[in-house]
Amino acid sequence: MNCDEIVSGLILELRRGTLIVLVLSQLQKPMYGYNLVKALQDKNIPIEANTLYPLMRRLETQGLLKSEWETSEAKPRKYYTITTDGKTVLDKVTAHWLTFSSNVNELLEVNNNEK
Amino acid sequence: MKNDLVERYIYAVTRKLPARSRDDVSAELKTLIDDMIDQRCGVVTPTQKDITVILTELGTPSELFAEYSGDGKKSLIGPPYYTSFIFIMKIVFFAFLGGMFIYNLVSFTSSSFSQGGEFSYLSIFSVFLFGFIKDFVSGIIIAFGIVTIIFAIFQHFKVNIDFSYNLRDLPDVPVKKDTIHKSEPIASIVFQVLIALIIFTVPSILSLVKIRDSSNASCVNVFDETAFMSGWFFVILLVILGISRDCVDLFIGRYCKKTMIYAVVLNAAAAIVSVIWLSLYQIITPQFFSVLFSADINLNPNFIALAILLFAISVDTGVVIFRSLRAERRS
Repeated sequence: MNCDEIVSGLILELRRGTLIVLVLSQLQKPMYGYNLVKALQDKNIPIEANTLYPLMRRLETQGLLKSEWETSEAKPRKYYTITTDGKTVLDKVTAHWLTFSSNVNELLEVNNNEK
Repeated sequence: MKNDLVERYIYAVTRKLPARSRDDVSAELKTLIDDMIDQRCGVVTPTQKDITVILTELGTPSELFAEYSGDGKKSLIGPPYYTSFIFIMKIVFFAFLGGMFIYNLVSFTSSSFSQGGEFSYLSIFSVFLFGFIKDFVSGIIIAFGIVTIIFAIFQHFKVNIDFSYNLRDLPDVPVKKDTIHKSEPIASIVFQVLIALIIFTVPSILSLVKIRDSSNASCVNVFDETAFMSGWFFVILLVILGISRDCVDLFIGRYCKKTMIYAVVLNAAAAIVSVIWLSLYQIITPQFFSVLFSADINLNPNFIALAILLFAISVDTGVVIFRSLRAERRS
């Protein structure tokens, strides 16, 4: 049995939804894509640009983010910010995440201690 | 050269994206790649190798395109339809396998009998096998294609094929007596398609059904082949109604009010079609009775065919009504 493949598949699934919450949480102030990649990497959340850029576009289509081109700088950049709807979604999901993750951690710790 | 490779990469990613987002994604990717180059090379002029490394890091154009278009999550036939799709494909496969085998056997036997002559068993077998494989392969490709297209349409328009989505509408767990085993309707569908296929491709098979005239010991055809073939539309209609009736059993899978209503409506339609068909086309040879009883009987022998059809339809209707009502009472 190829455990590594299953593990990487599971990690991918675990990350998918979490990354969306993280992206929303970081965009309280306007940021452009590469800036956000760096910011998340600094906080030990590695994310590839090829995942983040399409993700931000999808969130924009859903109305959770809005964007604006900033052309006054040397390079034109697209800045993304969270919308009011995005904030509502973020608040609800964060509340769920906090209880859910603490419950999960508690269960996993019990499991670990029993070993 | 730097711009050339980067531009070609961006073009490859964006060319299939919707026109409204193409320019925006291009501009955004361009800045991103610029940022990545700056990060890697700083003030040093980037080499071809640097660019290649950065673009490889970003992934192949088709991978990135899939991310942007959401294609990675799209599928022609996805989870809600996949199980039904595979189920139908299996039925179609085995129906074709069995159907084409018997059809080839019948048409081959009838044609070799009519040709006469001597053949070696090996050559007979290889001709039959070749014909069977040829018909099966060409038929199954078309059938699979049609089923796939239908399910792809279901998927595209998100057609609801699960009729039990509302909790209140969830069917009761049927008692074993009330379930309809899938093999019955499947066998019936295969049988009907086969009969229709044989009759329409080898109509001469109808003239194999004969009765013996007791007075002069000659044989008389029971069916009038020409009349039968000119009324093809009604035969097809009856087969379609019959298959629809079997599909009710197949998809609902149990006796209940819904099964009863569909069955009664379809059977009533079949009865009406039968009456119209047999009043327009004289499919039984007019001299049938006179040959059978050696006496003139003033009765249209078509009546026999109609009586048999109506009897079969009534029996089926009666059975489905009885079993459905019994199941309803039990629940």
